Amino acid sequence: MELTEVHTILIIGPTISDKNVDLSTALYDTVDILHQLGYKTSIIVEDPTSLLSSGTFFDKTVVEKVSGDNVLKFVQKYHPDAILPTVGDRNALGIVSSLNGKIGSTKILGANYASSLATFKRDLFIKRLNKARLPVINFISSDDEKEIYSFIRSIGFPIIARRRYSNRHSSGWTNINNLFELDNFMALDDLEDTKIEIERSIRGFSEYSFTILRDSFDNSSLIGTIEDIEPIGIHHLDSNLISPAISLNDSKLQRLRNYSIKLARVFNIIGVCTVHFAYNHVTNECYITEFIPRLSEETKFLEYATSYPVATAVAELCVGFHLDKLQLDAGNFFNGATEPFVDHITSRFPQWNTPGQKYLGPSKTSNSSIIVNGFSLEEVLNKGALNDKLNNNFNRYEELRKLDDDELFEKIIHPTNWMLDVLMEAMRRNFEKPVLSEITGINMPYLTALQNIIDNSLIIREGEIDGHNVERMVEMGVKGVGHSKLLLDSSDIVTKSVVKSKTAISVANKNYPNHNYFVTAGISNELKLSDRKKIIVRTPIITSKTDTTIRQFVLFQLAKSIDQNGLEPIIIGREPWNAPLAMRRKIVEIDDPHMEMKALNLIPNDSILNIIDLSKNLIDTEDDSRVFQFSAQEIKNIDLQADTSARVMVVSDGENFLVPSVIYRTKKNNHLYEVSSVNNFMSPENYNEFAHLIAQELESEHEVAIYNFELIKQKDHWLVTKKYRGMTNDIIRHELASSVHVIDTLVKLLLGNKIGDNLSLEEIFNNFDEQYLLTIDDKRYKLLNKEEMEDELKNLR
Amino acid sequence: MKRYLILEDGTVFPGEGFGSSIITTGQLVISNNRTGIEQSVTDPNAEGQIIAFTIPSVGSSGINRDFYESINSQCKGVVIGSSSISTVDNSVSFEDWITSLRIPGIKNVDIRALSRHIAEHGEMKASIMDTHDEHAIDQIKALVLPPDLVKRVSTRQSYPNPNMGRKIVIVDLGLKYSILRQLSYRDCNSVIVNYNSTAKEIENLHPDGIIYSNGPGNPQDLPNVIKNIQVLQKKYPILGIGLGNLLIALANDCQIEKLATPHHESSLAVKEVASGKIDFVNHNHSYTLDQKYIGSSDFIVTNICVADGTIEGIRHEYLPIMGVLFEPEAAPGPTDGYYVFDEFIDLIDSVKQQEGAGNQWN
Repeated sequence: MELTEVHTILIIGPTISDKNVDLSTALYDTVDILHQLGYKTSIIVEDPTSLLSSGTFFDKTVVEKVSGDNVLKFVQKYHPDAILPTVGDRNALGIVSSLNGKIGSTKILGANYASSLATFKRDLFIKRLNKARLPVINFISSDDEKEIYSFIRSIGFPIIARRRYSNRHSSGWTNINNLFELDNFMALDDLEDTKIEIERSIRGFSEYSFTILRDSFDNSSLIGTIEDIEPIGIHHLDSNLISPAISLNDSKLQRLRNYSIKLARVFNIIGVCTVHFAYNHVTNECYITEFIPRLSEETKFLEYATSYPVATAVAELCVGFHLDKLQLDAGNFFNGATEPFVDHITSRFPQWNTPGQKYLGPSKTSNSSIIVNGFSLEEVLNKGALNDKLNNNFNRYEELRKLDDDELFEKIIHPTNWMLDVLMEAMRRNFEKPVLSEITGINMPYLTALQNIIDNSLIIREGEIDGHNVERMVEMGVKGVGHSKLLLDSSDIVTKSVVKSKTAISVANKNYPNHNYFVTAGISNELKLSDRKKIIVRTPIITSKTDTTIRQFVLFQLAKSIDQNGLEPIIIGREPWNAPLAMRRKIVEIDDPHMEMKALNLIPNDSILNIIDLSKNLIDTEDDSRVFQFSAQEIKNIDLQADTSARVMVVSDGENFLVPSVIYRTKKNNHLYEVSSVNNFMSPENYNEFAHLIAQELESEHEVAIYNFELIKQKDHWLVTKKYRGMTNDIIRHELASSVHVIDTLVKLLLGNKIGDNLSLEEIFNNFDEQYLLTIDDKRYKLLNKEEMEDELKNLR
Repeated sequence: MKRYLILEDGTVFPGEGFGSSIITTGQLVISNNRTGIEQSVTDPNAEGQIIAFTIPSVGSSGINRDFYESINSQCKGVVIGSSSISTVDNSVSFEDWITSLRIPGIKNVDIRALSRHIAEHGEMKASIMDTHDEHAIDQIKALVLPPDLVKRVSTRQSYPNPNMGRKIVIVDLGLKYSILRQLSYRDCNSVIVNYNSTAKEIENLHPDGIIYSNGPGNPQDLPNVIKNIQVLQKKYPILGIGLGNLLIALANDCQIEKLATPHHESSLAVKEVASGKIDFVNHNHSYTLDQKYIGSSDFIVTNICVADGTIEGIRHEYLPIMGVLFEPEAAPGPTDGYYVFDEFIDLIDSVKQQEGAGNQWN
């Protein structure tokens, strides 16, 4: 089937897993642009919430487990013209490789069978790359000693080796540096049916990833490069990442660029391909370690870093658009044929939920990440990995100081997520930088940047900040950021805190839609604000996948409402939000890791209508910001049957309130069921009781706010057991299930509107919705119509 | 040491001095090159220029002597935001290297503000100085930059770059070594001559083809070269690169104009008009061909810049003449443009074949 004959597309969505990266913005952008271009799109997805925030641009949503069987069933039933797996994470590629020969003329867009299969099958990957003369780490699995020695002669030392037993288990990898060590390894227990696996060791090599876009006319562009501060051996997403790759000179950069383009050509990947390299700067050896023919954490990061609308471009390339004739939305052309140029550094620092040390290795352990921008290495390190407000670096410092030199050395050898702090402590004790670089595999420019930061903090701690010191700090590249109050605010030296746009000067990419800014130092401010009154939304730090989904959803709805109500939305957070493309032109987004916007009054106070502080407002139910909560013991003591409970969201204008949505929760057959928008099915007695209880609780509250109540049924009566001010994690379910848009109502109330008589409680209870969300065990979602819902409710009751 | 970058219009950018401490004045050029500091600083095109590099953390990748584009540094000064004092390959640091080249530099400049200012107000003269009083600004305004930039960079004496293949004469208007590297890969037997060599002198070398190289400054300052081209183009295949391309156009009744946004970027897309193929190549030019005159000339446009539609490549309809405004030799930048050299060699071969056929016929 030709690309021009593609009209209906099945999009394989991501699975629900904390292991997977969040591609909700990419999914949104993909579906949005395909819809605008006139394609009929269907989505198979496990958690539809990120898409439902807009909800009108897809034709069919299948909320099912994203598996090969379900995709096949869909294809056999609806016969889509094509399947798009690029937004479905690794799982989607697995599904694509399993569909070979089963889907008739349905076309696979983006990552084809061969490329999908090669991401799983190492043999195929090596074979293809060898055939194309691309550098790949060759590998042997053999029980023939002669063959093994001959292979090693061809690749040289050092190598890594392991034994694979007949039961498919294997020993750990052993580093072997010379013939003597190899002989010793070979002489170890010689079990029957044991194969020895050997490959070239790339321990200590630097890791780079190159992301290229390719159209179906064989045009390719390198849209970004990323380098890992930590060497190969530590999972890419547990490493601190820097973009662009600053340690590659022109010849190295072009070599890796050419390899990346050739690889995409070899596998005929249309769309996007991220290629990972291991590079040895001493020997100039270089290997391709893996490739990712889909949207990924790297593409998301590069979209932050360069403003290039990667997800939108990839969707269009997959359906046959020419690289230089892409559209931001239907009819609005943009030049995709650019290799985005940035004049700043963007860094991604991984985050862990718990503060303790984690040993790092090839498996990912981090839970989330923060992304920061700056003009020097020191600046991004200060804002990100060494930002005490984000990482408890001060506690780390205190703990590391207690170690003796040997214990500290132990920490240098075995990398943990505290590595940068460990290195700083080592340098404070005058460990030599070249030695540290040799042991850790961390390149010298990073160690020098850390040294500069140490020197800088010594000046701040011990000396007074005078003109001379400031100059020295500026000379070291440590600008005002994070210490703005300490530094002089003078026009003469570059220490004035300003806000800069993330879009750099370049002939090619200066017009990308983006009002994204970051706080830095310089002599001129680039923040451009409209005359409209502003609502500032302060965003929380992300610590889990659930957080991401909720934040994406709430921010999108808030920004949309603020804009639609004639105000200017300004989103300020310690890290970027990455708004969907459709929203990027309507909002001003400011990354502010040191919370300087407020401290330095960088936005005039008289233009601000209100500040919605989601960093406090969007609360986890375990948070302290609740107004009250019965403990589990208390609930037990008063003999409450907690099997049936209801959660109610209330919007108050200070006098009157609305109850837009109630979530009913019950247990049956050891499964936990939650039904959103159950208010449509409640009895009048329950309405009255709820209204009465809530009115009682809100008697003393006189602010515009959102409240959440949790009620438990005790015999025939309801009892309020929890009360929170602000939005809770339930906001998505309430918002989706209710006919009243809670967030939009909040914005309207902030503007001074009042809840009128025509919006009574009864009115809302009688306002039936078309779709209801049933959640089973917090994982499986079902979207039901009214009849289906009534049946389900009957069963549950 | 505190120093100032002062622009012709009086705008002052403070920073810290490094490298040579002399006062320098030149044409300020904003370079969006992603890599290739060595190439940019030693590029003869940079003669008389103060280059402001907009990339962050300049010098982290190290300095490599192998990437020089001429024996000496050519630019008058460098301006950067941040730099790294250590390098990934333990080579000399950027600042030490600039010091060894005796070029003045200024760092910790708000490079974003500077590049936006130039984008808004156009390229202008600038100076790196220790003071920023009115007297200094008046001095810059009064200074006239020398028009003989090509004379300064062109080889004074002809020299060969021997090999066994086709004979190419390269007219050195500011030749980058990478052009010679590319010709060497293709076994070309080249002779490099001074820009003022007469048509007769060039003819005496019996070339199979002639390359007019890239170089600095305004092509209209080189009337003699234009006249030479008018003579030689009827007899030999010619390739013009950068300045060479502009001179070929001027020799054929086309006009040139200054770009509103000059192209100084190591990876900008050009599109081959005939096939739609997109290549990313190094651009380093402030002038382009005036589109109004191309239509009435004998040239067809072969390449355009995807970003702003600038004409980037031309070919003569009847004569074996081709030219590109971008730098096909890369250095720095992607290697997508190497094909231009292959096409030129094909052009030479086809001319030879035709001549051979013609001789047989006669």
